[in-house]
Amino acid sequence: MASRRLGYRDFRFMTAPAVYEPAAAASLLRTAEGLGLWPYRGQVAAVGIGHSPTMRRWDGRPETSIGAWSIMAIRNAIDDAGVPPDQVDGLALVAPTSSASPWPADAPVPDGFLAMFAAGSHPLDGVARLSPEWLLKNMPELTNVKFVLIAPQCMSMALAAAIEAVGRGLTGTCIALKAWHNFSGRYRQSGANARPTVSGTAKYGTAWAGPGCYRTAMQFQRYLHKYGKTKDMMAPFVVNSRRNGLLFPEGYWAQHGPRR
Amino acid sequence: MPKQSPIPDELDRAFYAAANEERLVIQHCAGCDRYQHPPKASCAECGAADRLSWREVEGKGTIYSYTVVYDTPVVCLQPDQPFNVALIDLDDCPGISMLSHLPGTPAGRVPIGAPVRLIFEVTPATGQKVPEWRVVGSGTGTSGS
Repeated sequence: MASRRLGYRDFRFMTAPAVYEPAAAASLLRTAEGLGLWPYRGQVAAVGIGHSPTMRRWDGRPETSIGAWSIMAIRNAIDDAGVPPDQVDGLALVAPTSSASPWPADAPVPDGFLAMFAAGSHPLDGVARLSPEWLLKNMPELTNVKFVLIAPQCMSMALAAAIEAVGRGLTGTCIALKAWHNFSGRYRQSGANARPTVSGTAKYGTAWAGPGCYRTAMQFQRYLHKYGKTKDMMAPFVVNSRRNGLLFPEGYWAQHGPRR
Repeated sequence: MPKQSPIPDELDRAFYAAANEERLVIQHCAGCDRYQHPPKASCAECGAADRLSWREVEGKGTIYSYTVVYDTPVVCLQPDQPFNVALIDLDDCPGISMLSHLPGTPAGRVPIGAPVRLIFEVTPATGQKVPEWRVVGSGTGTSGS
């Protein structure tokens, strides 16, 4: 959660939230070269962080749905920040919640979920996607959200755009949320990856390999070649990284018994 | 090795049309005297769109690095697992590289630094040809660490 604590501007909000769709949200990212020092340096702070537990796959219960755990994470962040919920006036999030294994076509929304949460405009809201509308309906304590930002792709973009929005005075106290989950089935085996043709930038990358990590693997291989190393020499780094990962209490393996 | 058939668009139609004629063309900016690939609407360096043209280049390259893919989500590549994915530096175009499956080279036996030559493969879905690269000489190497 990002908040402006210094030099907070008086900003006239509309009665309905101002919604920044992904294209507009992208305009908040500093992607050009030579921009110099960020003009809001020292004026924006990350003041709270919140997580849900982690789970390998959704077990179908409404209380562990992507919507329920998003609400839990937001409430934890608000608690951690020590701000009253009605001070939150901004919400930045990434709408897609799964890029790996999508909700099965034609599968009904579980009855228990519909009984527990107010419905959004999309039937899978809170189950297989997340909209600001659904979140605000199911978080009645957020009475003051006037700025909504739908970030492209990932958490880093949601957070960076939220920080910029706070800096510009578009919002004073903003939640940034990325919710991520998977359903049954193998990851990333459907959609574009299953087609016999490929379009867009994937023609020059994904279509030749698939997993994004191939680029990192090629860099590693080049490193081994250039410096005369072997991959066995990477073991201390790998072991230490694993140890560091287990120190993160919200991590999956920290919660589900790592194999030792 | 069967791959997804690329669908040309307004940015790369010339690239794929040339590939069907078994020619390799790369976008070139006259203002910066530099190549860029994949194709873009304007030069990534100077921003000019009207100074871009297509230049045919010789099909010679060098293997910069590689990896071996054991588990890909791209369905039409799965029958050939494990397979090489190599990064080829084009000798005539500094800074330009392309991916290759290195047909003829066993998985993991990729000689980094070895010269490669251009070939073209037909992709099954549409018949579109794509540039591919083959190691000059034996086609196998000793690298595999």
